[in-house]
Amino acid sequence: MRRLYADRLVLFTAVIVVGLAAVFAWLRINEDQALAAQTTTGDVSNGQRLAEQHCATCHRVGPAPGHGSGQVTPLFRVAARPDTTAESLRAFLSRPHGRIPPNTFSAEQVDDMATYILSLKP
Amino acid sequence: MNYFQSLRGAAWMATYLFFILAPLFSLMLTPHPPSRDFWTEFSAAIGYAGLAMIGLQFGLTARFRYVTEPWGEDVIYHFHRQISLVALALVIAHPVILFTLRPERLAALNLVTASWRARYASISTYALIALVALSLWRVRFRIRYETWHVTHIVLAVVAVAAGLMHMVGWSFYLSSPWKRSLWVGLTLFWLALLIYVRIVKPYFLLRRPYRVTEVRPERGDTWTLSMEPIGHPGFRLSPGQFGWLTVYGTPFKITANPFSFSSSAAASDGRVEMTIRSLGDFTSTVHSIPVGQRVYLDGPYGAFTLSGRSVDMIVLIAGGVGIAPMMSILRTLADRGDPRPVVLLYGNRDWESVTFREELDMLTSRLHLKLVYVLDNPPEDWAGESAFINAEVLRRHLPEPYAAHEYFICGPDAMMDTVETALTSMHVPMTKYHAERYDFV
Repeated sequence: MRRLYADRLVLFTAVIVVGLAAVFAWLRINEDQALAAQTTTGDVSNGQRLAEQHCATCHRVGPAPGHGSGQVTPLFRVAARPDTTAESLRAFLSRPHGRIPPNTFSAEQVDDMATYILSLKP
Repeated sequence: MNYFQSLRGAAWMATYLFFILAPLFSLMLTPHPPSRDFWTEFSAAIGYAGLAMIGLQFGLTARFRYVTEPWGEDVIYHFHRQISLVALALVIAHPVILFTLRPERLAALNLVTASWRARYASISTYALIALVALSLWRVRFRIRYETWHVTHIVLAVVAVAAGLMHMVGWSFYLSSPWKRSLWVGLTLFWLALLIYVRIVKPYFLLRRPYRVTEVRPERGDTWTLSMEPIGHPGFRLSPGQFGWLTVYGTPFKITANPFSFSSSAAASDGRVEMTIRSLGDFTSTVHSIPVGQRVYLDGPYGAFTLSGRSVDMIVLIAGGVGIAPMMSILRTLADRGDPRPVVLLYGNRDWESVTFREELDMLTSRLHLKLVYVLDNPPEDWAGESAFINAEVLRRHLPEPYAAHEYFICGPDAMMDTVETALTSMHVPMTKYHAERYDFV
């Protein structure tokens, strides 16, 4: 009985933790909806300038093959992925990756670059 | 478990959940990165929660008396085992969700080409899988308890440290300095609990040694170890509690053995006794412990003790060496002149192996005590109970209403399960009985 009691405590804990993890995710995506909507109003030309300045070392920048170094996925292919959204780009560009150190871009610059990359969608 | 303990238990449950969920929800405070899709955020959340649960495992086994008291050591250790499966499920589900969303992320599993932040995730997950597998199948793998214990600690530290490195390396939510400090601080706190248990506490125990004054043979291949404190007053014992005994070596030794105290809690000179049956491991060496041997005791622990509530009867149900904590209760009640009626139902293999048989008969003159012996192999002229303790035996010897008594059960697992089921069928609520299992570790 006491082990059954402990098992119930475990089940209770698991349900609470998984449930509140789902709440966390739901709150996060709702919280950023308004912010995400602004992404489409970013400055494409400034985004392109930033991409050429910071991304072209590794990525091909531009609407088709032929630009950039081409070591990793070209930006037009990133844009073509079905799960690439303004939110996913904003998230990705907000954290360090490759040679990009943390906190490289401001929120506005992230918006501009995300808008530019999305503009490459075929 | 009484009402006050239930309340403390609920408070501790809330605290436990707080330590898992508060650090997670703190990630929502600004500044924070923009959100991704629901499943990516959910995956991140269960990853953080999983690591927090693994870290808190150090606290559950840190032997904090005020943590274990409301539940009992057996419930805490069972919870520790089972919740580790939940934590493992969360930690594995975290990458599985991400891989499902973006199969190309599977490249992160390649330890040669992956980034360090991905390697740390793999190391943490593999360590956790190994830790759980070794714990579940230690006996099947024939791993010595001591070896398993050291491996368990090392794998746990690797899992938590690598998990933290993965989080900090990924840096999505922890790019803010104060959030990074919070999670690094929390991890250091969890690891500090381990240092407390393995270094700080043993250091203080080292300064409070005991000396073995007698190794007394008892019926049923059982030995009573009498110990007196050296240069300190000892500790205040509640009848029915247990302690961790280290005989050879110092308290820094990785494996101490838990045994119930069998002596009266009314003793004022700090002397204590443990009664130990030879069962094939360390217990088989107890008879050869020399008088004068220096030993160390970490304790007392456990909620298997008289609650202080007004009950009309105390019912003790023991199987084999499960009599040890019952003797502590009986001796204490006798020393205190407690007038309450006590019934002891005591299961044994045969009449000759009934440990403390003679002393129990003597205690009937000092206590309002009824003895009910239940024997597996009774002698031919046996007129008492035989086979095992079940609902019928309990109903034959206990007055109604059954829920008005306070019950203490200690013995082999099979007996414990049978008696707990019997008490449930007799409408005795769980709050009215205490149970102590031998194999909680």
